[in-house]
Amino acid sequence: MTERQLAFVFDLNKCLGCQTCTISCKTLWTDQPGMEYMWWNIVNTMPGRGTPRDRDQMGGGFDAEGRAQAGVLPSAKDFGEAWDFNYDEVFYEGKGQSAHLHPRSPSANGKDEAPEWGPNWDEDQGAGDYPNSYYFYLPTICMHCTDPACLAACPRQAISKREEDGIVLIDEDRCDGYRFCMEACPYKRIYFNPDRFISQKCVMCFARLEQGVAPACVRQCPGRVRHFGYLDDEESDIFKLVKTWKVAIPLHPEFGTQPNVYYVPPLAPPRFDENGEIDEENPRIPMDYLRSLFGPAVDQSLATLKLEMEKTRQGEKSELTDILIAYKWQNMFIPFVEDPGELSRPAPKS
Amino acid sequence: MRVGRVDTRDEELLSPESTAWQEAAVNEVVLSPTPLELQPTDYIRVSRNGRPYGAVSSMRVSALHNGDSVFFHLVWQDDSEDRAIKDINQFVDGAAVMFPIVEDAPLIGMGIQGKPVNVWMWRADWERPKNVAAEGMGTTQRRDDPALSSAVRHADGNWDLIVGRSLEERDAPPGTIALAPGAASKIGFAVWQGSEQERAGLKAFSPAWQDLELDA
Amino acid sequence: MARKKASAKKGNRTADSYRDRWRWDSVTWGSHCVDCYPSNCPHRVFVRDGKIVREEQSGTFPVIEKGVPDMNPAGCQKGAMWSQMHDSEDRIIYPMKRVGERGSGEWERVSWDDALTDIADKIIDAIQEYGSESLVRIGEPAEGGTQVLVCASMLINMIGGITTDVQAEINDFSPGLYTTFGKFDPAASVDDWFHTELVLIWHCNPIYTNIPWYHYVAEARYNGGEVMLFAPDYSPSALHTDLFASVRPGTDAALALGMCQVLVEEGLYHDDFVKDQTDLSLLVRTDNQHFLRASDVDGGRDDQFYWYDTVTKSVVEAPRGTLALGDVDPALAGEFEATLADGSKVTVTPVFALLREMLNRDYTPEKASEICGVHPDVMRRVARTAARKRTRLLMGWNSGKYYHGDLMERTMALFLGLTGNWGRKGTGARSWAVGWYEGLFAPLAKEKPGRQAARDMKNMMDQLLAAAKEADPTMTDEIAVVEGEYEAARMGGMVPAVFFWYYHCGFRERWNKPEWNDPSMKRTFDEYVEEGIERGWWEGFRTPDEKTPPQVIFEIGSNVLRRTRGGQDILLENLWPDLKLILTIDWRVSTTGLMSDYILPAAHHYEKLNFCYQTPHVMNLTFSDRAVDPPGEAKSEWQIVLALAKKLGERGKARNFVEYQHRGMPIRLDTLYDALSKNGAYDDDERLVDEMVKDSATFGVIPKGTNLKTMREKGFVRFTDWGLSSMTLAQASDLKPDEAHAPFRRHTEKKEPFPTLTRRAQFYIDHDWFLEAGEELPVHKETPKQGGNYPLVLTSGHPRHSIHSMNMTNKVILATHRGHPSMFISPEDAKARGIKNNETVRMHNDVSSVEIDTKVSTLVRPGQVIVYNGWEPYQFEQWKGTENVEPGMVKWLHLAGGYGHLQYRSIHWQPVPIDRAIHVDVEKIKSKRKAKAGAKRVAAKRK
Repeated sequence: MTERQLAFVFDLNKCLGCQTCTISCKTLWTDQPGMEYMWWNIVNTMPGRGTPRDRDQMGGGFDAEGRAQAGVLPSAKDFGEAWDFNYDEVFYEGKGQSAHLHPRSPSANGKDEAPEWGPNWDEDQGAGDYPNSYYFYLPTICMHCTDPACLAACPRQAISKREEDGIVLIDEDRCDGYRFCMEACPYKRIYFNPDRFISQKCVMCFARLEQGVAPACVRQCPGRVRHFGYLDDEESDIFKLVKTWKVAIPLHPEFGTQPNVYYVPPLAPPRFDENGEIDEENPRIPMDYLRSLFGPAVDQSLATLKLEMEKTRQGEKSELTDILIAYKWQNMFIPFVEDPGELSRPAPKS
Repeated sequence: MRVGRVDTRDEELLSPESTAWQEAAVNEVVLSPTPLELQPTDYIRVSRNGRPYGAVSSMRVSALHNGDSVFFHLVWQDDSEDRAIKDINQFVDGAAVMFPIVEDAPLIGMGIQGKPVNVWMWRADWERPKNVAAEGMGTTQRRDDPALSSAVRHADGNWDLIVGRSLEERDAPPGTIALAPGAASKIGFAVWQGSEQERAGLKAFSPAWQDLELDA
Repeated sequence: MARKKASAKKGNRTADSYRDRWRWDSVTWGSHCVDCYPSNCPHRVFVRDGKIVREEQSGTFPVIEKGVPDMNPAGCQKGAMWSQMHDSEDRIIYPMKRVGERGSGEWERVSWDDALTDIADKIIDAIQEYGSESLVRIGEPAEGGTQVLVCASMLINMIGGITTDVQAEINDFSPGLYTTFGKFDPAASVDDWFHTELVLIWHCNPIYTNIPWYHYVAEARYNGGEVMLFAPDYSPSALHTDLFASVRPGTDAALALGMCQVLVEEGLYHDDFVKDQTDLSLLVRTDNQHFLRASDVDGGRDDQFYWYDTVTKSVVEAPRGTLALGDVDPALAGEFEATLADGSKVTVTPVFALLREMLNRDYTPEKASEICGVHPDVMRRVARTAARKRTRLLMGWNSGKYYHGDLMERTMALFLGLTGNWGRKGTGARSWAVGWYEGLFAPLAKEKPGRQAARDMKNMMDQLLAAAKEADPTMTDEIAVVEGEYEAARMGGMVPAVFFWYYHCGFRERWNKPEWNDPSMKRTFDEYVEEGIERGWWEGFRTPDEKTPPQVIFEIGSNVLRRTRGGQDILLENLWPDLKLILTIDWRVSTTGLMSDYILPAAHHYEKLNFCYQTPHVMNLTFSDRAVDPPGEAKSEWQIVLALAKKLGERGKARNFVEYQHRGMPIRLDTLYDALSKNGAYDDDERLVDEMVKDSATFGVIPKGTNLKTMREKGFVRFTDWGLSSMTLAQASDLKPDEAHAPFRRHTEKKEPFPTLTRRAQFYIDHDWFLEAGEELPVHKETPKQGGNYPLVLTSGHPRHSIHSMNMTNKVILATHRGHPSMFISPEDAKARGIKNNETVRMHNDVSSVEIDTKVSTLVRPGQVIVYNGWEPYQFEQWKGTENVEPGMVKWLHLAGGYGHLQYRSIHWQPVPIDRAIHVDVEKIKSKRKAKAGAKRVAAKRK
């Protein structure tokens, strides 16, 4: 454990899958050369293959005894390549309606090859049989684990975990592009920059935190999904949701890295039985599926959530739902409540 | 390993076809995989357990100097020529020549704290080899000087690499190997096969230092 | 295990490089001034080294109402990447002239002067040959912001051209809400959603389309509310609900009526509410199905209606000036006798009795269930919940795009009426509304610049309103303004698009096809058109008429070839060939632009001064500043319009054609620029926008003393008064600084009448065409098989990824989905056709066929396919977008007029095009066609 740990709670019952978090990160950090295909933050439809595709089957992390587990190194196509588009051909090359704008795989060496995968390819495909279809949105970022498999795997000690807040960072000067971290990360949230031959990942917007500003994905989330703060701050949403109410639980706890992103697991409307009547007995999203993602704690988490929501329907107050409502937006990320537009910033380096 | 002295210009010694190399003595260096248990992290040991690496078993090495510069000519078999990565899960071929900076610097583990080694590291996607100092695994530091020169080709399933450096004293700053006509040192070799996802400590290497003598 | 702990200390190069990335030189306010509802998301725009590096929501909304969550941080992924579009590959920064055939992709970069000279000459040619109403500006959703709206409409009006009604062009009309309330636009502020106890999401997909505000739905749920969704598909908006009920596409009216039957039969309806708010208490003659009117009873007004008072046991006048019952307790049941002027007796009965009879006969939950597929118990559950909870229909603009969308909406409104769910916090329907325009239009409309002229204009408007109310004391401000709008509409400017389509765009044949229409359309479409014209309902609006071939099309902030139901082909085949000039002003390459003669480069949103649409959803005037200058030769729309005005004068003089007549009024070209710029006073955008803000303050809709400087400091200001726009007055609630806005409270609390014929929420329409159609009461009717007899129904909706087509061709956003158009299809239907996921298929019907890739998804109801809209046709093979399989029908009944509120005024009652539930089939393509290379020719490039 580091001295302090910053953590996130993502409330999946508010997530819209809109990718504003994804874009907010993209425009801040990953719009540089070699990073075109990177999405340090991504939202996936679940059940689905995730980003990179089939990430949950790619290994990494630790087993119950704390022993490292072998992992797969994903390809750019697994993550989803940064496609090319034929704008000029369609607009200016005199081809009329014979050319239409479409994505092309950049690795096809100039051949007009249609992509077959992307970071959000299976959006809104879901599972189950209509009308009992089910799906939900799952945002993921670097989990800034308490026991980071990436850090442990790196032979160059290029990865560090900061004492003061637990942020896991890659030192890009030390990184030699070996990519053991990418193999070892069970959440597959590390990318490789082929232009710079280094691995890169979410930096928890530490440069913003230093100015008292919440991470871009947190502050820009229009669904007000993301709570953020110190795990040991007993006044924080994070502490209350994770420790007091125990409704926010980690994704794949069996990966053994003690991630610091916690999720309020998804509810769903009731399913229908074969007569078209409401079936209150069996949940629309099979519990086994949810347990496969969030472990056994998901049962208690959902039970608590439903109980508290029922209380509010009876007109009672609930501390839990009041936190999840987030009456005052800024309270979601105390103490990082500064407004970037009001900061007096030093002029940029030339 | 003797480094013969020839009267050939640098430019010519940077050509594998030059007659000087054809006449130079060839040393057969035996390579073997680096030991799994000595890999620096648990992850690497676990993930490569049962997944062999370091399959290049030998390397032919010649060495020459002309009084101004020294060159090593390395030839090893590698059917797949991995000069650049086309995908992020690919790795490139590489080779290295290593020298102890202090006499008893260990070869295995690339030196140790206080007992540095100097590595001339070549990677197929680099323009020129890099000069690297190390004091143990995971401690390599690239340095800007002195500059290394090289020539490389891949033909008939073999890599053919020449790597060299000036013998001038001023070109051997502290932390790098000082070589001069008539001097002696030790040398070791390593090879990475990109197609086998070899990188870092996953490689074939010469497990023991070889003596190195430069003709006066 | 061994692990090293470290700290990223200052001085670490990696850390410093990231710190350096988050730096900037200056910050301005920015927003995305587009027709996205409710929009108005204030952003900070960060500039470094003269370039915009990024934007971020400001998060500076205050809490308005105690105990209600604030609106922060309003935004979405499109807004968060807006600046990425500034220098993207679909940006235009130089004037471009077509040099090949239209649509050939052969362009030449030309100077502004050359372009405007040619454009001005073609406009003058058109005026000389066919008159100014051959100049058609396609009604536009202000994709460039209100600056575009103001200046584009101003110029076209000043030269006597016409604008096709934007409501028809985009069809975000809610014809059934309009039929009921005399207004389609109840629009609560989004924070009022939090008050709702039952959020009934119906014909809406807020998870895609209301990204900034959806949180209020989730938060209302955490606050003890229930959220339910009715839709054919297990839509993304179903995920966070407490009940999803799957409805067979197009049968929502049956579902609503089934629930209404429960309310009536179980006595759950709100008796007082029904009596005073609605026409259900008014009397109808059983002999002719018409309302009993004063013109029947004593030769009085044709719009005076009656109750049967159960206290005095007599037929009494229902007052027109108030909804208050007074001492009367109107009957909701029974048959009564009324005496007519000639002494004869007729039997009358309240509308409610007719309704009850119909519900019990045709719409028991069991019968309704057979139609719509929703289980009767589900209907009962929802009806019983709505009867006791504050219920809001979270509607979008989906229903109005069904052939019988009017009927659906009328039944949905009925459901609200029976449960007493409007005019209270947390209740009501939802639509869009804009307004507070007086300040924005005033600088150009008033006599001259300055405060005094604004005050004079305001005084004049106040006097007109007062005079109207004096003439008819039963009028509210709202009704008086609406009546004024009916008058003003006949003066031209914006006109219904239906006649333009009918005469000039090739729709006449389609609309006459009986098999694509409802069987209760008893005559041909042509006959209804003729009768409507003969009866004078469309006098003044039938333009350009059959004798006036359109000559010039102006596209400013719009994309007609992308959007038109019926597809681009019908326009390209029928309208395009005879046009002398197609002019597109835009900042990006649209399909319409590619098919135009000129594309003139407009400034992007952060390159000019602008405002978002003003809407009660957010209740703010939101400002967007010029963070950087426009690149290349791009200009703000205001500067483009001024330059064109100047050029028209110049060319008019050179051609000795400076004056002409339009609808009896003289128009001068040589003084056009002076008139528009007020003799140059507004030659600069800053001066115009400053004047707009100051005039808004003078009109009292924003705080006194507000000016451009204030806007630059705060980014937005909250409105302080409704002003005199009909769509803000339509909200019919008092505007309070510390309260969320819930519409219609003046109707429920102050008993102010509605702007309908009966002055009540009107569920019974005794217009003779409605009686002929059997739609005097809201009923369910099957959607006609538009497109032919095919097994699948195509539905649509706004996409998650784009506002219209604006973001649809941007690389960053494209990467967040499949990057190409997709058709959602159920696994069942895909399997039956041997179709795989992400396979290119042909979707076809009797109208046309298009190629599109599949997205096989479990959310889709079998029998349905979904293509979310917004794709540019040029993203499809041969540029054939899905609009091409839509016939673009309109419902004949909407040609009805001459009946109280059933008459045209801008963006209200008129025929609007239909695109939902189009019948199609889908088939595999044997071998995918390869794109053929067209004629090669050197083309002018963007840069």
